[in-house]
Amino acid sequence: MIVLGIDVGGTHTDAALVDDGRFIDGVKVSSSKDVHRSILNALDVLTERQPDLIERLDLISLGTTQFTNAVVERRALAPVLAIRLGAPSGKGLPSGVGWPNDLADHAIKASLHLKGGHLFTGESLSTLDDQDLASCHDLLSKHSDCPVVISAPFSPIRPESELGLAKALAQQDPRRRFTCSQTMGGLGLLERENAAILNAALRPYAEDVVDGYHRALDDRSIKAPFFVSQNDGTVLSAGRIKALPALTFASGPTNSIRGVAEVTALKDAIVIDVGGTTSDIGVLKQGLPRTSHQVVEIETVRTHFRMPDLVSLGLGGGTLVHEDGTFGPESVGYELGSKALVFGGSSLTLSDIAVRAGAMAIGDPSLVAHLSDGFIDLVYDRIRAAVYPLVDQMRGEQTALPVIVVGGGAAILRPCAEAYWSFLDAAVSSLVNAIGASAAEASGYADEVIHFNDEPRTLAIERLTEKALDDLESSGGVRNLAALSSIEENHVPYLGNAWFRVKVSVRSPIAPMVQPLNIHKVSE
Amino acid sequence: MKTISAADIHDISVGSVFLATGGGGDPWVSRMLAEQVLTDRGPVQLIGPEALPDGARVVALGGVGAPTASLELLPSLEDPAIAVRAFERELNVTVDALVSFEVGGGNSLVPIQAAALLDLPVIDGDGMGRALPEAQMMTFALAGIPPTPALALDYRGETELFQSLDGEQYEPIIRAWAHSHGGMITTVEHLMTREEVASAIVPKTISFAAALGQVIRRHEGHLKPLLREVSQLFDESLYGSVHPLCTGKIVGLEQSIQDGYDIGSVHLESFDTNTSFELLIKNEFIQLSQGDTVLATVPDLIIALDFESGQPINAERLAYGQRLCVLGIGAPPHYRTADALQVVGPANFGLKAPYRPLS
Repeated sequence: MIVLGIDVGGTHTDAALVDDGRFIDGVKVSSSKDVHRSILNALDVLTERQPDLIERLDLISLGTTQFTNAVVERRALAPVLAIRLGAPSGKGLPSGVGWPNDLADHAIKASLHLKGGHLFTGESLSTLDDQDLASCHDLLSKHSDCPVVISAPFSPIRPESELGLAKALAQQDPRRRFTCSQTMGGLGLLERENAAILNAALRPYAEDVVDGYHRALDDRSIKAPFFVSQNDGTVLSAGRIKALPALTFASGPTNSIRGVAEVTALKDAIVIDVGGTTSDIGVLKQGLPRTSHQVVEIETVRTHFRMPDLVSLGLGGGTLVHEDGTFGPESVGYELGSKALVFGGSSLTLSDIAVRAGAMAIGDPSLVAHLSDGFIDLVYDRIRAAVYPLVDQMRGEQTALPVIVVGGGAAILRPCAEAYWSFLDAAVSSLVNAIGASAAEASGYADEVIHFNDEPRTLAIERLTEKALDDLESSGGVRNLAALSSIEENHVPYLGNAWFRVKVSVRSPIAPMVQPLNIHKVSE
Repeated sequence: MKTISAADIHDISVGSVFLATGGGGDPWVSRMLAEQVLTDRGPVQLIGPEALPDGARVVALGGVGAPTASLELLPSLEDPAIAVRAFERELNVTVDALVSFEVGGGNSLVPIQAAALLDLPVIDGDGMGRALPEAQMMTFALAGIPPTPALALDYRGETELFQSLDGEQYEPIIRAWAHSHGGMITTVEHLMTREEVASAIVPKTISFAAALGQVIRRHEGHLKPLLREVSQLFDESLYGSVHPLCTGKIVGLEQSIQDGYDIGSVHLESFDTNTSFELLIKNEFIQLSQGDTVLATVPDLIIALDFESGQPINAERLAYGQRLCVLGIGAPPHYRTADALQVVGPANFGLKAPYRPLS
């Protein structure tokens, strides 16, 4: 099973070839403006070294910030019609509330607030009437090109009011694209609706992007299926990314943590990813990045996606070192190759310190020979004082958790590593994010508010697990190989004893990993 | 601060999360509504009770129910104003000013929303000085002011009048009404004279929340300067001083429900030594102890800040491995009398330890 993991970053595109979890080869190329150009560049360099690569490739898995960037740059967004049910509740909180004005202008053409939806008990909140339907038809006829987003209170529990309206409108307008907020899952009406709107606005672009990847891969006669990383560290099939591009938001930081799981076979570890400007410290928990309780905000728009639990500090290869031995947060960043002392520049960076300490072999070490041993020790004292407490804080009660240091600047930390810290081979270390992208696992979720007197706890969990498994399958996972990741049960306060919010998440290998079809032979 | 404008709302909301001592829910939606109504209608007057004319009447208002329900059943812009108007109509009284019954959480902003639409002033003060779970714990109730006549409004605009109930009777009745009307309602209650308001409120808490929020926002990500300035603010207030009680990470988290409350205990381990702490939750943070030594209990304020960002954290957002700085702050004098402690003392929250007030 040979997987190509590709991580398309702002400055570099990394590609790693992984055979059943074993790293074979990898490249780092400069990113070009055009993402599939970057992918092809990386592919071509790799194919030169591995001539039979294309034939042997079973799967491509891609990490990309393209969809996040499209939102940040307000480009390639198709404005949507946002129809929210639930009136009269929520008057004064229209779709797009709290968004930056210019982003709302780009993503929302017009909105309606109509009756419908449900209460936490499952009872009807209000009922959509003929007048509501008429105003929908009116709005749709004015904007014949816009996709439609429908959201309703408690739709993850009672999907029928969103689905009913979508069906009624689709009968009149079969070519129109409808997105119901429940496809984004999760409780929190505004957050779910925000994600659904951004998602619908990104869909035409996502189709272009995915088709572009397909064309690029076709150009090289690659028929292996490809998957894309999402924010929880698992992947989605290319087909599902066309429909759910918003699930890639904030997927970046999870890949390096995932990559460590892949190359070390560890299920639990602390991961320090030392980059050019910052280090991210995260935790690998049962094979996946530990999530925080902070939600993903994209351009101040709140979504209900959860962020990976990370702490960052200003410590990277390009971080500037001051005369008193303190460092950062300023960094020379991507200009390391011209500004650092070892490369003939005039800025003292942490890379220079590491070269002088004998931990790193880049540039000309004679250019840092003048730095005194005492000064190097002083800087490393500062590094210890900055890094140790953070590592300790991320640890929780698991005192025996190993620490894995990765990233382009990993070697900086060698001189201050403790006994239980490990470093990966340099080649693997700097490509660990691409390797993380190759660790193709799928996930599925279900999230509901349940009254345990009406639906006994064990039955509710069984039902939600089935629902999560359905979700898993549509992402490309395999039902009968699925494992339960977590069941979260939280009492809903102020509603008596029996109301609980229950979230079930499952994961599995993705289908092609299980049955390694040689796709191009099958399809030819 | 003599007026509240849209620009002040973010500060008040952040300050209100701090004063909510772990409870109170997320005020984001209330913030959106208040900002919008103040942008449309202009600033609201923020006054002390002494600025009210003779014979003025004041009512307290806010939301009652389950924050989880309002994740989906959103509040409406005009509901607080509609509730006040309905109260006036049903009881044939004229309301001259509005007061928050709870500065902790989104309820700090509900009277502001109504005041902007009704051209009424808001009293700088509230009925708790923090967040607490029950109506009889309000300083209004402690001052002997009955909660009724009270009016409840649900999301559909349905209203109900409640009469002749004391705090103990009112609490379960209004709670049940909220439950059967979508999980979250608006209530108008505790009709007061100028003199009653002056004697019953915890004064100046709205302007205090704004000042607190401003400091917290300015120093986001920098715990030390944040703590220094927050301590200064409390030293100049009627609350007690700020006592940093512990810093540590969450190594254990247990939660259960008893009688409709979220009961929880959080085990913290300090970063530098092997000291462990236990933080107890009953909707809000109610006790911090180190072994057998109780470091702080209700009604003193116990606040958990995120160790990295310095931002206050709700009890429902606590997670395993999270890094906290826990503060204790002396309660306002209203809650320190023997009579008040009969209602809001540690025993009322099921705690055995006696109240040993923080300075």
